[in-house]
Amino acid sequence: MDLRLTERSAEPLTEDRVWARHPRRTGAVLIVGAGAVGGFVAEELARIGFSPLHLVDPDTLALENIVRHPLGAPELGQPKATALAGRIRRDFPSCAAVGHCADFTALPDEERWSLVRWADVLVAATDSAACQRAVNKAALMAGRPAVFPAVWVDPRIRDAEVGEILWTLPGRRTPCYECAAAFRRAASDTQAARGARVDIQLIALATAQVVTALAHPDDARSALLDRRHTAIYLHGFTPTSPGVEAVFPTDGLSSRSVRVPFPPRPCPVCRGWRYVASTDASAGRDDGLPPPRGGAQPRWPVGAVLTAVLLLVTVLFVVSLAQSTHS
Amino acid sequence: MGAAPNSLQQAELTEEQAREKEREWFLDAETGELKPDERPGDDPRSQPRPVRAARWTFD
Ligand SMILES: [Zn+2]
Repeated sequence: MDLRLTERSAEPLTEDRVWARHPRRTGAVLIVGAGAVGGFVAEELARIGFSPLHLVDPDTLALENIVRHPLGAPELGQPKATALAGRIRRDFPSCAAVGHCADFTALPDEERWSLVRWADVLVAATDSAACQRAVNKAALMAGRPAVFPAVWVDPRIRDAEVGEILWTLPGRRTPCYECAAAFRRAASDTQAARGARVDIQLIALATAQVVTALAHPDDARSALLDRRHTAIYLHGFTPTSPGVEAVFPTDGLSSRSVRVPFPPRPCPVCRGWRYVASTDASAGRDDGLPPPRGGAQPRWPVGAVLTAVLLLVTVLFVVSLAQSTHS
Repeated sequence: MGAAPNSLQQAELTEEQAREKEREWFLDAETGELKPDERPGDDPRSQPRPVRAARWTFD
């Protein structure tokens, strides 16, 4: 690391001082979406030590963004991705952050591929289901883990109240984003909410922990990754509304890890399905992640079992028939 | 400064809340609902109802 001087003090930013109270965890992360969620995730990853970070977002910072974005008034009208990357490089010189003012889905294949290939972990924090799906496909093709942070809104109260973090491992070891988001094709998702009762930064902090765990499977914090529960839901300090209190029976800060089953039919993207992929997922022990709690029971395909039984009965019948003919 | 008791929150829960906290949930990707896993011995009428929330990401 270069011994750059800060503007106000003559103290050099030496590596051992920067990480004196916080052992550095590093790795390369591609963050698609540099909005309220992705922006805070990027900042937190820089604090943890990740580098390089590539941020991709086509939007510019608008006035209504600044109450829930790491950037502020000085950056109004600037592209979010490049402005935030610049801020991160200035505030955390050990992080090589690069901004790309672009729509990930519209990038030329080669450019998209080169962004994905070098990353250790992908984060998809966009407001577009199509873009989230594009990141999912890219992660599967490149064999990279991916994290999909979002916010859930109660359609009746139109308040954002619950944070959602889905995470995926490649190779059908976990259900992919598509497996978890079939309903999102129906496009009934809320496009606007009145307010945020869940702290966005809480979701960003938790997302950064999931990224760290995925990038460092030997780290103690990887214990939070349980392949049988690949969706994490977070509730903030606000009183629980009736719509979600069944999931969060107590008021206040809490999280819940939720099971995402493989789909009953093969997933069009990862090809995982309930009867094959679940046995794969419980059998594969090559990812360094902790063993699933509670032990997944391998499930047999009902059709195959019935066919085998039918075949056995037929064989026994033919054999007994042959024997009776001989005698 | 003494160590905070680990089980303070658990101790403050009612029996029903503690039981519900232990319950497993799964995401039904077809409906977008979080649904409770059925547990042996549970009265189906006392099962929590599925929770439906629309997804939204901040811009
Ligand atoms: Zn899938």
